[in-house]
Amino acid sequence: MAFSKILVPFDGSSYSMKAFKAALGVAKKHKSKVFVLSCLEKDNLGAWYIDKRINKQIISDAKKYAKSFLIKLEKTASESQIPVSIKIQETKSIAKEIIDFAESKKINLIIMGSHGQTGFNLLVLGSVSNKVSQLSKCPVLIIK
Amino acid sequence: MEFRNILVAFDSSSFASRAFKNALEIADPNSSKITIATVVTGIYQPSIGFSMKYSKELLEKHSKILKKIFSGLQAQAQKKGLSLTLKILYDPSVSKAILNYVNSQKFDLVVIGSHGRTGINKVILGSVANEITQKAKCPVMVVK
Repeated sequence: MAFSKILVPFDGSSYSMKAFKAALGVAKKHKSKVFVLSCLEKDNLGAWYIDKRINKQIISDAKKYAKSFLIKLEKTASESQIPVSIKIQETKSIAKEIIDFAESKKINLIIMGSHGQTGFNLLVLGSVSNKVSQLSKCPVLIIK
Repeated sequence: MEFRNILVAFDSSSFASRAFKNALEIADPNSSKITIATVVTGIYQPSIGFSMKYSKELLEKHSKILKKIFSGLQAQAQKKGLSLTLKILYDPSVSKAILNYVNSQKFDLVVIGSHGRTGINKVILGSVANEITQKAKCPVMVVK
């Protein structure tokens, strides 16, 4: 079983950056393709009850920001000649989106950080990494 | 990031042997060392009181079986040019023993099967795998 397709869920946190670097290391050795997936959560945005257009504004801003971030990643990967495909997805549940994406693309390995943007308790896993490690059907490598 | 020092938590279940195969895959033949860790939990003997005791005969029997299994694994590893070491831990609690060992040594990666010998429910993680992904201080790879 070779790791020909690796998925890195990316949220711009330092943990996900670490995970991305680890993925590049593995990808180099196995000549694998790296998928980078950024999920934007549709719910829990502020101020929708005041003006619904604000949500759209926030999402489109977030998309722009994510895209500029992912393009940077693409550059670092192409410097070491690793094929990368990036994707930004709007979703209601981040963990579910990651698992569905992994299944639809037949990913062999998910590499993700132990915490994301909201992680502060370093003893236990973050909610998304916990859910993904529990429910995904492929091996999950959690970087601390 | 390179995984030089890899620990595989092994209990000779099918999940553990898959974890072992994945560890071989991710290890670098030139620089990586793999440690196989198994935990002997001991036998509950009511006559002695509420303690887990190892009787000498059983211990010898266990280590004999373990060494047999280990030599089989070693043959697999040698095909890839990797060296293996066996570490037998004695503790009534499997997850505690592995966690203590992992956190006291410098490992770059722990590879573990999502379930062990008691795994029935394929949807969620087994108890040992869950505890180790949560509490280990190094990256953990959960193999399904």
